Amino acid sequence: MIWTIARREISEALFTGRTLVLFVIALALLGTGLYVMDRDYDARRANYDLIRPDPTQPIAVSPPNPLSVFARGLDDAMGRSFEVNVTGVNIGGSQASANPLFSLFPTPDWLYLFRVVFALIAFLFGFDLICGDKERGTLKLMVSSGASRGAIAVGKWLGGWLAFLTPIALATALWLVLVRPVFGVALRGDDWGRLLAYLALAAVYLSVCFTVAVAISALFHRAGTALVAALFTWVVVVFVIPSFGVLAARQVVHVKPLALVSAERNRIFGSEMMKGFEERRAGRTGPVFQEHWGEMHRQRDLLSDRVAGELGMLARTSALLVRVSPAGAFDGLATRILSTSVADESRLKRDVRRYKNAILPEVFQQRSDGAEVEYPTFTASRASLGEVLAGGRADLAAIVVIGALATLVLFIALNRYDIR
Amino acid sequence: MNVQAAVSWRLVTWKECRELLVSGRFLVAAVIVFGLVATTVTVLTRSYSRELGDYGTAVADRQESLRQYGHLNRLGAWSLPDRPNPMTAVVRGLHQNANLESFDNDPLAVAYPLPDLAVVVGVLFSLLALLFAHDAMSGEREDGTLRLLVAHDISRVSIVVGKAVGRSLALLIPLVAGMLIGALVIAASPSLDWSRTEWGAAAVLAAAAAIYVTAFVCLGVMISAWTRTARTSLVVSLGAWAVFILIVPALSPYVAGALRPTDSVTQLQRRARVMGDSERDQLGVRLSREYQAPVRERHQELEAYYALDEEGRRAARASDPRLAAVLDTVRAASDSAWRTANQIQSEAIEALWADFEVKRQAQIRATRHLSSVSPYPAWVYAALDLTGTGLRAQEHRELQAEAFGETTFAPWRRAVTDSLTAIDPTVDWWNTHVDLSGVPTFSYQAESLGGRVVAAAPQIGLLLLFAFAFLAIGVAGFNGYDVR
Repeated sequence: MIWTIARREISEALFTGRTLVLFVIALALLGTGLYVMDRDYDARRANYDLIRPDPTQPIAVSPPNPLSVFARGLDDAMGRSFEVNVTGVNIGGSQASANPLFSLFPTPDWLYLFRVVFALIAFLFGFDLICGDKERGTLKLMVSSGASRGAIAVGKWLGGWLAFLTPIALATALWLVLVRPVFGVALRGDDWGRLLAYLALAAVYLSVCFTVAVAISALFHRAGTALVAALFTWVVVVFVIPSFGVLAARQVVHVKPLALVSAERNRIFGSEMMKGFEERRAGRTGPVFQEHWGEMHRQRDLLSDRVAGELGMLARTSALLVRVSPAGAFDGLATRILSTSVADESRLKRDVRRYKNAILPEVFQQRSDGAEVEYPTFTASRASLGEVLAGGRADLAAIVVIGALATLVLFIALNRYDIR
Repeated sequence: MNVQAAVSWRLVTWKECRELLVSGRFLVAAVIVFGLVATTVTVLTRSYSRELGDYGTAVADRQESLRQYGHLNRLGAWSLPDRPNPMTAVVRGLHQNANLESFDNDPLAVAYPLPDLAVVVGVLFSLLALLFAHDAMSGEREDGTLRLLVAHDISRVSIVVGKAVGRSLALLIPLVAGMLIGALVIAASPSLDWSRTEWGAAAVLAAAAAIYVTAFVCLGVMISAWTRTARTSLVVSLGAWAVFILIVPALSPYVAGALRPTDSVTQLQRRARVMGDSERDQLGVRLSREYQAPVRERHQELEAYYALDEEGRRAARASDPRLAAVLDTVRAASDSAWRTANQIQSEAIEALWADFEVKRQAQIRATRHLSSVSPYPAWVYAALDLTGTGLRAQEHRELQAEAFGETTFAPWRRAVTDSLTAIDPTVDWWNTHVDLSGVPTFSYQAESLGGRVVAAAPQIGLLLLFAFAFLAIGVAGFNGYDVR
């Protein structure tokens, strides 16, 4: 019975052309997104080739992450050049665009398409799945024909879900096949694993969105009302909770303002340099400044620790609040899987500091005697996929729980449906 | 329009407005509008207050540090951030406070930019507008009431215009009310002291928001006049919304980048560094040889001098005043050569950046033009210009900062170095501690209300154009509409 109902849903979607239209839309959007982000990645790669240091330069730069083609996240910020010198770490070349209008509008990567556009389509596919039948009177017929309400719920969900997800999955698979030959994006074995995990997560997220829409459909008797409710839910899930969650976290967690952090770094510099000059004037010889540079680094590292701690707390609180929405949880976990998340940026900065402290004696030496030094190449570490998935259990659980709750609502609403 | 048409137009408007005001849709919209506008303004006002407090602390901190640790070679590092723009309590614009040029940056500001009224009105209210308007014709046709309406002596133009105006008014009521609540929050905030300029800009912003929302209502009515069922209208409306709000703005900067490419900033920085460093050295050495050549040809005895070691040269120079004079001439020629090399390379670097700036501006213009096929970017640009949080304000600020540097800061700096040299001519003023707490501080004077309105006027005009175009296409569609 379940399969019969599901088949009816699929044939209806095929007959009305909805599935075909969705396939064409998905193909166009995913292809455009991939093309645009691939060009963007190529530009960043060219930049990286320019700013890549030679071994005599104490500079830490990471190449752009090929997975950022699918979810750019913070890859721009992570591609900055961290230049180590005797007084600290300066930011050299960056991947920032010359066009400031980029920051006004969202990046059209696959993450955006899945999180916003396809989620909207999921709501549009699901909002009248049950109430449409109620309006037409066909739900009555189904119930009276002996099909259990559970079977109706599962059958309709399954049919609608297949009709919705199959075209997107096909379009995605098609572009994935073309990623290497057409776009030349070179992914390593580990990258493919991450990409597949990301796409699986996207499928779960879209399925949950669809389930929420079907649950809404079961709650209302008129498709028009269900649509308003579905769109309202989409707005809350995709825009309101993620944006205002971070905003609320900022009200709760106080992070030292960055202007004051910069002032503090300057104060440390000024204070230590001043001491050095005074000692020099007092006639002290030897590596006077070296001691003060060392102290400068120590104090600045402590400051960075404090700032990183506060930002970490803010990020954790934001993630906690944003997770209430499947879109927020999806965004957080997806960027972590693809290594372009806030956590990855923090990890990179930890690595840069470790690298800086390891090469600092040579940097001081080079400054003192001018001799050429060969520095080790900086390599950023990356959390393994297993670690990411273990750390992202809360996000995944949040998405699944919301899906389970929506399923529960669907069954309860359908069981309470009065067929008279 | 004759009297009869005006009366029927008003009748339809009133009917549409009244029907919507008592509908569930209006209730949902009112709750969303009130909630979002009030929450956004309250939170942004709080953020502004905090930023203002932080700014005060930063000013005091800087003064104290400049007093204690000031020396001229680090003055640039002590530059003060601008006083927060009070209009960021409604629109954040390009202001991100991510501090990406520093090691201790805030990644969350990049990953999750703060929402503001430009986004709330632009994204959500446009969706509400389409929900209000999508079934204006097709819904009534399905209900059978459109037939009755047309059967009365009401022209089709009046019906379309009346429906668009009526539905717009119904949506504008909660929008205006929400904005009034936002205004109350701002007026009640002790840290926000808006001047007439800010209130005036906010009033024009509210008017622009009303036009923007009306344009989307007209779009909904237009789609409804070309489709047969409310469901089809809705699907087409949502498709149009997705294209206008989600697709066009996101793609236009990338398409503009492909059509009007610029060199990357990093590439240029590298090139400028090479030009100002190794290439300048090569040029300096070559010019130095050229400039010195006539002197060295005239004074062959210099060859013998240059063959000496360091010690020998010092002795020769000290013992022969004529040689010393010739060497001074050689030195002057070399200095002149290096000055020329520096000037040539500086001008070349300036030309490089000027060329980049031309290309950058072309790309920005292309982005604006491409994105203008959607009302959303037009609204965003208008909001940014009116609140002084966009590109125009950045350019305005740069001009002021440049003038301040030339007319105030540079003379002050010269006065400080002169006073140091007057006390001790051998002083290394670059690395000497000086109390610099008296450094003149740049204070940005935001653009006048007139300038902002003039800047935003083309975008607001574009929004009006969208509204009229949608309405006109709607009228064209409804003229051939089968109401059965």
